[in-house]
Amino acid sequence: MYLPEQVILSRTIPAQSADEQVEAVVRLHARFVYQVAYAVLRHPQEAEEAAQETFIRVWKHAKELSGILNQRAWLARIAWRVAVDRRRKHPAVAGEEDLPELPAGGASAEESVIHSQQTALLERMIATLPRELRETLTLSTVEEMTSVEIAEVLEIPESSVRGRLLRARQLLREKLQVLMERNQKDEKKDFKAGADV
Amino acid sequence: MNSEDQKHAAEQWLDDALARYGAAEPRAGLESRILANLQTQSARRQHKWVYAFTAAAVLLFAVVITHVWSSKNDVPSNVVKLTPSKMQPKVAAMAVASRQPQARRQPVRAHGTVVRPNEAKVEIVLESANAPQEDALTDELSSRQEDATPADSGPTSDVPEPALVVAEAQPAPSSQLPDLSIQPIEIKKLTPIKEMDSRGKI
Repeated sequence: MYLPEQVILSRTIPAQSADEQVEAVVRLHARFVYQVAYAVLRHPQEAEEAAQETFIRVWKHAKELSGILNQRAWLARIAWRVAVDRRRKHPAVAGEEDLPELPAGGASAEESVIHSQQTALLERMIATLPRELRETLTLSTVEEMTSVEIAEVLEIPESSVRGRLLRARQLLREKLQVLMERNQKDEKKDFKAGADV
Repeated sequence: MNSEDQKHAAEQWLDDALARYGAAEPRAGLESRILANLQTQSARRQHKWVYAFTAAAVLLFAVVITHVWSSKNDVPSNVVKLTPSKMQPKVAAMAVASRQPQARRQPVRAHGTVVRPNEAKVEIVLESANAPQEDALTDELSSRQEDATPADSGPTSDVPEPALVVAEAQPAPSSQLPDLSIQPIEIKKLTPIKEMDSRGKI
């Protein structure tokens, strides 16, 4: 006799109360939810508040938790909406001084500065992208987020996600090449000026 | 650097930057803070229910108390309990009040004869004024009055006290009074009740 996966799981896993289920979800996915919120808001404090709000919403719909097949995608969608709402209410929270602290990882001070400059430059370039491409690319930067999950969050086909990602990367690469050429020209000018002196 | 190298360098730079872009780590203890916040929310929701229930109970109690208090004190001043001894003057007063608008009304002339509306009613009223004060007769009077004047039964049955006073103070002129006719009162002889013996036979 054929039994759906959900039925099998519900039979084998002992029943938990709603609060226990929410606690398990928090312990399992809190970091992921934070990262989704951070990808949108680019501000640590705002991202944490968005994560709190996301789990409050989850707790309010705790009875639906057992019926959800892909909890990660479901959580990502809630976190995404919460973060977008917050950004709409408090636009442009991320400034230069609010950039996240990069993990030390034995990196020197010079490397940290280079990384922070790199991230700031990338943020500026992403901000110039069209909204659809920007949203897709932002979600794709979240760790371990698959194109299927991105498609569920944005409620678009997976093929559209892939197409948008390709287009976004292509646009970013073009902008970057322009910047690189401009830097090379500047370096040549400086080199000539130094040789003349 | 040719264009191919430049493209390759840009691709690598982009990969590095995007990987770093999404690598955001929350402050330590995020799960604990979220769970503590959820517990606070849960407690707040329970308190909200308690407050709501208490407020509803207080409101209900206040409504019940107000209702009981108002029903105790709310005795209408215009309601008079009629005892059999008060029935006769009341009926007479009602009769006078019902006669008053009739006296003011002009008699309707049709084909040269004078038609007095509610003639039967006036008759009844005068009868009742002269009748002995017995409850049985009063009941009969009222039933006959209802039969005779179905149209005017509404106003005559609910005449306010001030109207009665005015009606009594201004007696109708004798010229407008209808002819009096006193009908004899039928007195039925009551048959004596036969007593039963101990065996139940009459």
